Amino acid sequence: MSETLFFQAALVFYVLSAGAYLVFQLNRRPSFSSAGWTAGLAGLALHTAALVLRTLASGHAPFTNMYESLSFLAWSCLLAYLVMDRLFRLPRAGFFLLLIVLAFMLLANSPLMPKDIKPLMPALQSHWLWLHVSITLLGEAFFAVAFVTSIMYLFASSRRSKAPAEKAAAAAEKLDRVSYRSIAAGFPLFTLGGLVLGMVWAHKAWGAYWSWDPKEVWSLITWFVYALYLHTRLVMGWKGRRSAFIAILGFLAALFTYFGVNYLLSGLHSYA
Amino acid sequence: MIVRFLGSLKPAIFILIGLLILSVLGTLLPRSAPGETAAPGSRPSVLLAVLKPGDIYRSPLFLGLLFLFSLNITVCTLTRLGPKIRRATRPSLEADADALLASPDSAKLRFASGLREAAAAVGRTLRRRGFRVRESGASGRLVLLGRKRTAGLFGPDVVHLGLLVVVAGGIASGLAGFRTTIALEEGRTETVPRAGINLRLDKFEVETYADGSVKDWKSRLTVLENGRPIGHETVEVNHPLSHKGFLIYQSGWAPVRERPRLGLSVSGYGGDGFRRDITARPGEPAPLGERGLSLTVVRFLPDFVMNERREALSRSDEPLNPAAMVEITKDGETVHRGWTFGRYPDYGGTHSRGDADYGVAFVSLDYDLLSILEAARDPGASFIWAGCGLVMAGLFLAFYWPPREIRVLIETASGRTVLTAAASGRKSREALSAEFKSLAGEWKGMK
Repeated sequence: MSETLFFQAALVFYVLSAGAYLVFQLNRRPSFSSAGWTAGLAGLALHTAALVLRTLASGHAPFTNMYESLSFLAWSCLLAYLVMDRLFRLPRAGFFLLLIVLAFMLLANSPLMPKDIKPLMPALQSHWLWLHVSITLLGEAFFAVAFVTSIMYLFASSRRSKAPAEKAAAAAEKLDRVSYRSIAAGFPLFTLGGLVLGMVWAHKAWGAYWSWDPKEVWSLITWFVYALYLHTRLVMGWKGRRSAFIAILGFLAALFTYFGVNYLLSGLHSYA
Repeated sequence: MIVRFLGSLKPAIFILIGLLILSVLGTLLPRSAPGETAAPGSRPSVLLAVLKPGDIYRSPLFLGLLFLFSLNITVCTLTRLGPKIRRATRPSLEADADALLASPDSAKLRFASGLREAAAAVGRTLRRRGFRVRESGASGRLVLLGRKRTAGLFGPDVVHLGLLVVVAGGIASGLAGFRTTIALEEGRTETVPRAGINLRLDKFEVETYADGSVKDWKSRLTVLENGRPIGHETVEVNHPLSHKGFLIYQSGWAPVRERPRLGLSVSGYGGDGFRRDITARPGEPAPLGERGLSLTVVRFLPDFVMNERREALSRSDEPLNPAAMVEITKDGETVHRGWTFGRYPDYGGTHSRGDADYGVAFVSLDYDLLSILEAARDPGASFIWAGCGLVMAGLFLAFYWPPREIRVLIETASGRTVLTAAASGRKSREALSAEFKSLAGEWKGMK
């Protein structure tokens, strides 16, 4: 099982990356954040190999059960973080983001999630599976980055730390801006993957583009929350704490759409 | 006043929150099956009538909020559109040096060259970077306005228009959409209501994987118009058939409980090794080869039990304990008659009448399959796709097409040419600052 091997190796690198970012969190030496970054990137490369091997072995997209989709979500979150870090320099978010990645990886790795490759049921045999799921999860990954930076913002703005007030305010302001930027990246992706492509596929497979299925409704709820974030921010000029709360709420809604609907509510999306 | 209120953001936020709460409720409360109504005689409370807990998304409250939502979007977009279009097509070409310098991205430079040459050179640098340049002014004072990606201004409006088209599509689907289920047995023809066609199921196939799970269901259909075949089509999951605005989907399959097929194995006890494996349907005699033998399943019970009066009955329609009363005749005379059981294939033959020369083992049980198709005509769907396209285009414009504006004032002051410039743009400020700095650098070089 070479796929498992690559997956485990990626997990090890993610742990190393999280460790390096944790040390950076404590001593603020840039060499540790770059070590964290490099380990994260190496883990991502191994993880990519695991996903490719899984696809080759199963002959279908690597997100048809919870194990596969959690693994892909972890991969997407790290990718989204590495992109946002290159654009905006966010080494302090590294540790917290890696915690989310590790949570998804460990959950995927746990015995709760059956890992064996199952043949694909008829409803999932479609090219739309690739587009619908991958784009949605990528959008949610950017929401995860916004979630982390929003929580960091709340801490940064409430705790007037040892750092000079001006510097702390500038750092907080940057976190607020990065939250917005992540949502600005995630929102169109989530709209396209989760709602538009979901409707296209539903139209082809179920004969109805919208069935008020719980997963559909929760995607719409998530979309509404982020729409609220964007409108209060861009039109009413909300920033800072209030925006951060909405961004956190949005990611919780996205998580519920992803997990909660599967385990707590029943509906058409009973497979993933 | 009311119009202004309807189009403003505060009610929009309350409407959004209302829709959110109802949507959450809708996923938590159990949904009633379509067509299910309150028991006759019961009087529903006003709250239940407005909220319809079993069907929140069709409740007057939800639809009312959706209506207000559309109204809000419409009013908001229309009231903002006029000034926006004016700003996009006929921008103000005014400039005030102090106001320009108040911007975080501004510059003030002096040139040795004349006013006109400086303006021409600045215009060239702007155009080279894709800015559309407008110029106005009189002698001694020129204003250049360079803009690009102005379409980005309209991103939110395009998204809103798209949402309205989606809502319109939803209404069209709700009012004029038509959907029906067609269950077809192999060889049968059914009419697709309102579509003016008939469908004949030529073959229904269920493909399975090695582990027995279903891989695919396929209905091979002949489409008939006025009784004449006009085409052969295969419908499977994810691959519907499209015909004149109708889409026909493979929705499922079901066994026809009235049409069982019994796999039976008949052995002769005469010592000559007689053995025949046959498939039989209840009531239809099946020949057993050349000896003039024929087998008939006289009775079939899918869930065999015997009651206290020792009568054989079926407890249910499910094949939990299938049993068949089998009769074998030779040249019209009964030579064997007895029960045989699907779960106990070795039992066959003991309850025999006659010479008990034959044993019948009940080896397998299949049913004819019913292909369940859904035919749907949804005039709203094309609106939905158009609306989705607009929403995506609008989101692209709003997030990835940030408008930029650079205003340049060139004046002659005490014999020298003075340039004051500032950049403005609400989105992606960092990139805008970088571009402005690089432009200002080019202008410095022109001195």
